[in-house]
Amino acid sequence: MRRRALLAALPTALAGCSAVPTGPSTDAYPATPPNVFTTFAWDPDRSALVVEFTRGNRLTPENTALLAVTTVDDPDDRTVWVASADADDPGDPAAEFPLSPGATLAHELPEPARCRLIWTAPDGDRSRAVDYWDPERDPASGER
Amino acid sequence: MNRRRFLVGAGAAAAATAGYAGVRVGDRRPYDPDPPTGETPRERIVAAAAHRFAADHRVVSRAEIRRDWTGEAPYALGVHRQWYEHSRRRHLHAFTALDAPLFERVTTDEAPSAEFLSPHGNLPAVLHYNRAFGAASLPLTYVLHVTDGRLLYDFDAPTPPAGANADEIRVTGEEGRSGVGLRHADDDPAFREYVRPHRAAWERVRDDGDTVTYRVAGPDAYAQVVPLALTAVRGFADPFVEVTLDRETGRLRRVVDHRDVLVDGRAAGGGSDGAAPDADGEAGGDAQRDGGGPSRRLTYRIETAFDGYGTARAPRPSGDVGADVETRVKGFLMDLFTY
Repeated sequence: MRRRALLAALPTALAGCSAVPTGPSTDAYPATPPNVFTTFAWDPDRSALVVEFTRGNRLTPENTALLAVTTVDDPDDRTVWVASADADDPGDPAAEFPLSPGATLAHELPEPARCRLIWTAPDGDRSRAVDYWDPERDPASGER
Repeated sequence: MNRRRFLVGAGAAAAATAGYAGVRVGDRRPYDPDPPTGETPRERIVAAAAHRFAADHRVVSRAEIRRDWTGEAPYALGVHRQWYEHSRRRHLHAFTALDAPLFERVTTDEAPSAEFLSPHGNLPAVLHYNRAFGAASLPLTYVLHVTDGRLLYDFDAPTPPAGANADEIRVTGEEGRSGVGLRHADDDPAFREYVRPHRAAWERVRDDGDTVTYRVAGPDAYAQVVPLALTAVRGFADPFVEVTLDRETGRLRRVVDHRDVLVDGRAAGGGSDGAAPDADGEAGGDAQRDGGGPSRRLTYRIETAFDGYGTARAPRPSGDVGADVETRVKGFLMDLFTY
């Protein structure tokens, strides 16, 4: 069993193996996701949650594969804000890169519901909720 | 070929192979990263921040709470000591939480985002400060060592003395993990920058001959410069950042992060009545949380010093290593094949 495990590990260990040492590289910079700060407001006339990108880093394909608002109870219900050509499921983005503070997005809903703003890393391996909106907890659920 | 010549040749080949393997595992190699350069202050600062990802160096980051709602501020929150030896593909971290009155007022059950009250925006720090919430006593030290094929850690390590060198970091009851896919450069969960790429303009505020110091202030610029993912920041009061560069080398010498921010009032144990910030949260800027919910003002002072460029070492911490044979072999192979 151990022999099998070790043999199975060899291809991965050998991947990228080189006789020549790697040199100094700063390619891993930056290591952290971009900062994205937003505000939410419910617009009853449009029956939409309006998200404003208020502060943070400019989003580009180099730091973002996808930014989308999703409804918590229905993850298939999403509005893609921006998506890179490398994104797995880019949908129909509402805007193009670069995305800068000041931009807004409307996520249409039949009624106010909990939503998340989801950011996905350029390599597609990581995603995180950068902000959330809960109409029951958040006073901003009032009219815009 | 007679037998003697064959044996001499085979012995020489074996010695050469073993030596080469030793060099690879020890990551002995030529290593000379280019110094950071740039035309504008912003370019020089970003280049200096990126240079840390290639240059051997030491970092000591001290976090203090200057303002909170416990009535005990100011107090020293913690220290993060870091040694980066990129030239030998290994890093060493020691997080120490010194005091935590902030966390004694709230539990993560009643305020889920309280777990993000860590001053450092990386997962090991967040987990460490979560453990500090419920620690029987403080200080609490978390040691982490990362190299190709191996990640060692101890959640409750001996607290290093003030001014400790890397070879004074110890572990007890150590736990370890090895992985064939683990590479130091990509898989150090605690390695992060202090200055993100940004578009803010810097103002020169001090020139001390050997060093020059720049500052950005205000929410818009601050929110571009400082990594804030995995933090509890929901809005801003009056933050600023100062970066000191070595005039000759262009390298980072010091970063002062005056993180004067608003955090979720629920995370802060501040109730959920939706009221505007109290007397401790009356600052200008975002008087309410971005999004409109209750918020509390919290002011960290995070001062980080960088030195030991080109000389810092990151040895494995002393102490018993608990990894099994299979884990050791996998880690060795990964280290052998990664050069």
